[in-house]
Amino acid sequence: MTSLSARGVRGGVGSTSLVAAVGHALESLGERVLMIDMCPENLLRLHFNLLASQELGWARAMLDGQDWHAQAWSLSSTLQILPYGGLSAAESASIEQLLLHDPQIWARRQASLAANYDWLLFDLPQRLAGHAAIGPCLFPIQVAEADAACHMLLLQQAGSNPVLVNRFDPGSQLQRDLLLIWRKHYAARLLPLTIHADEAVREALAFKQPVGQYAPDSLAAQDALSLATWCLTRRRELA
Amino acid sequence: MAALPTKVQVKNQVLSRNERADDIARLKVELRLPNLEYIDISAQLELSRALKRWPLLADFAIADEQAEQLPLPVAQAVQQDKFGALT
Repeated sequence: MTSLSARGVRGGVGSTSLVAAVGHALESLGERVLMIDMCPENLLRLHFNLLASQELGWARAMLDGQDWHAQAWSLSSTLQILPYGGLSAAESASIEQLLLHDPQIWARRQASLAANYDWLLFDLPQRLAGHAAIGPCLFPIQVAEADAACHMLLLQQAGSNPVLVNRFDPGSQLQRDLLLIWRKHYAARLLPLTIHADEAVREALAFKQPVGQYAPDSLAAQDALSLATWCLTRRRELA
Repeated sequence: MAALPTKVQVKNQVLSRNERADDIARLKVELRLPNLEYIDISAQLELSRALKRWPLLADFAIADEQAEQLPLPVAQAVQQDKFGALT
């Protein structure tokens, strides 16, 4: 079993839609996938037609003293999703405290899931450190847009996690320039592919589907498939 | 189906991913000239133009990017007007 997480360099770079797209793509390549929403916004489920009024999820279950693993939904026999649940800001803060207090919670949960899945995909919030403590992760991807804010934030951090450029628009001079600079400076960190800007991704959420299902021929869906293929290849190389 | 020519094989295991994608790095390996001095001037010019275009990026340019603007073989780009005379 392999873990992949997506976390924005800043907020709003499209990590949640990316997790939905990659989850769908990996499943289409024959992998058994569980997508786990670690964000209090609880939006990942909307890509998969789970009712907006449905408030159950692993965090809700933790607060209510129920089984966290009983909250997953089967979208197909090989694609499943574990929503965060509907929590107030104060409730999310107490989950954050619980996770900070015992940062191994998700490492243990990963171990208990290992036999049933090929991939665990985590949609991580940008700020909450406790929620980001998910245990071992082979692909801790940082999602960026090629803009000046992400450039400055990447300069400020000293991390070595792989960086994926999302919503890339080759028609933009600034984005082309930044990609050139990043390719030069972050050669080892920058993933060899980008996800192109594509209206189909926004439409897919409005249509309650991942982009690969809503518009399989769209550029972003093809990019997500390339990313999934790259992950499978890298996993083999790293194994 | 015709078989692909196998006389020259790319040594995937020897080269890193960046080297595989980099024709010059592959050439150095094939010619066994690891110390071959090669400066990709057009790439350096593009990088330096990118930095100059955006003041914020220039302000926070990473040190090795600035340094690499210096060792170009010509101090200034040679410019020609439309009749071919040097300006």
